[in-house]
Amino acid sequence: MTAINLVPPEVLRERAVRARLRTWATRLAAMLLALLVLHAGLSRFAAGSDREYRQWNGRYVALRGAVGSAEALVQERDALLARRGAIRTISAGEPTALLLDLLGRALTPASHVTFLSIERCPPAGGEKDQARGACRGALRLRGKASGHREVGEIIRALRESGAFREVLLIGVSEPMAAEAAGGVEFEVVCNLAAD
Amino acid sequence: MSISTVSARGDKGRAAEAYAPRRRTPVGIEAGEQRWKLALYRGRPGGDPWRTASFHLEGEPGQADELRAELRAAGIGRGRAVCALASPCVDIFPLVLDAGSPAALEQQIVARASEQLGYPLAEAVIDYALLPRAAHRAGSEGVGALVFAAPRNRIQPLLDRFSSAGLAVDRILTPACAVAAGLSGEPGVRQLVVFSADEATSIAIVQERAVLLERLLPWGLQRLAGRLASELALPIAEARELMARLSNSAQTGEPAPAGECRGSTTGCGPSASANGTNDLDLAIEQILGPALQEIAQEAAACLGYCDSFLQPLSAADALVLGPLSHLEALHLLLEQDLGLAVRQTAPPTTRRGDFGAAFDLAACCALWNEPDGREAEAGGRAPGRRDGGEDR
Repeated sequence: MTAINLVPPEVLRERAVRARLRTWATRLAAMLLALLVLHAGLSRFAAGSDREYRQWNGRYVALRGAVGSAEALVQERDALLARRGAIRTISAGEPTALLLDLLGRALTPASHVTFLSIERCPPAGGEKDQARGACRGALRLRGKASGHREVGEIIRALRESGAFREVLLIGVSEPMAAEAAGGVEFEVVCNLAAD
Repeated sequence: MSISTVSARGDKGRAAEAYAPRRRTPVGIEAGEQRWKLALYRGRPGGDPWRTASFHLEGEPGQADELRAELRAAGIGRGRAVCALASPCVDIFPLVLDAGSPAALEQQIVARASEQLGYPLAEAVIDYALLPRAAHRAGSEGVGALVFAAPRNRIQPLLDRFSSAGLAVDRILTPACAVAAGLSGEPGVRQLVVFSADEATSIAIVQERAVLLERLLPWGLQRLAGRLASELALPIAEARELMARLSNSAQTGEPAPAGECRGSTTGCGPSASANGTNDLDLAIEQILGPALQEIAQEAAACLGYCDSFLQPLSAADALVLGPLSHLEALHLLLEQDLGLAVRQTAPPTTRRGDFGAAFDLAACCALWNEPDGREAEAGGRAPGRRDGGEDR
């Protein structure tokens, strides 16, 4: 076929340029439209998210306030429980005055105490340990007596008082200095009876 | 001046699809100096697949609104268009060039065209088509080309007017180029194609769908009707109608209707006597005879000229197309002067519609397909417009 064209080339060129410009303009417009739609969609989404964030943040602040007051309550409770434990420990132990009174009555006139200690279970956990029988209080004393007979009398008097579960003689010694005077040093541990 | 290149032919297989309707066809235009005919193919199932409109230019330009309204009324919208310039303002001449690169060929064409044209080369729009190798003389090393040139001051206003009416003309052809694409294109067969358009008659020699030579004579339906009008003292509109009916009556074998013979001294039509009818026929023959004779002589000259620079080959037949294709007198003249069998063929386009022969050329343009890029010429050149035509 004979495919001539008598349309001036410059007209075709101009038309091609116009068509290309139109194509790009259309693409640009379409892109702008798409961006606008995207922007509108994102703005809407962001507005919704912001609203939701504010709601959740309000609830979080409210919950945090509630939790803060609960923590203060818990701390106060713990402090009160510690105080109560100490009070119980103290009130659950053997009265010191009573023990000293018993000890005074058990000593002979020629004997005296040089060291005395009362061992008690610690206040924290003491209750539990006592309940299990693992922790028992003890009265440890050291003293001087005129002789072995006196030491035996003291031990017998302590056992007869009934305030102690057992009374153990740890040791009797005769120091060089006391030997001349005929005295002995003794150490006794009295395990306190259970509550 | 601008040369826009090439088209070259010779590939019969692909050209067979030249008129295959596409999904969206352009508007086809037959453009003369004063009359335009437009056709658009709408291949919708059911109904008339064609939309047609004709437009008569009166006076100065500036009728864009009217043209737009006319197009709208005819159901032809805006869009692309292919136009056949049916006007004798197109100069067509063959050249035998020395073989060379496309640029070298174009240089030769520029040099030779300036000798051929009657106006400055800068004022012309030029394109050319290389002729198929099969048509060249045996042993010839030259390259045959058919050069088409039209004055820029005719082309530009045409484009502007169509553009203002919303039609972007992509391609301007000549009538023979538009019609030849739809012929059978048997190899080794040369045909004479006579297409009478509204304002011009195209006489072309076609081989394998390639136009080897074309001449555009100023004799068309309009001018013949004008001659009838002046001789028979008829208004031009009635003379045109008479021409159309003469063609139709020749087609159907019926006499021309009586109403069209007003002013004739002899009377005619069914109510007239047989002698009266013969008298009118004789009168019309005498009036139109010289013009038809000129067409036949020009056809003979074209055949002879074609044989003088290409491989001599007798034309197999003469195809007469267009609104005047049914004129018996034209057939007789061609048969007598050329010794060719005249075939009165409607272009393949008309098989798809029923608008008569008036819009044949516009319909050919509407179904004219762009050439396949692979359809290269025998010389191996790739077809393509050198200076921007391919950008579209």
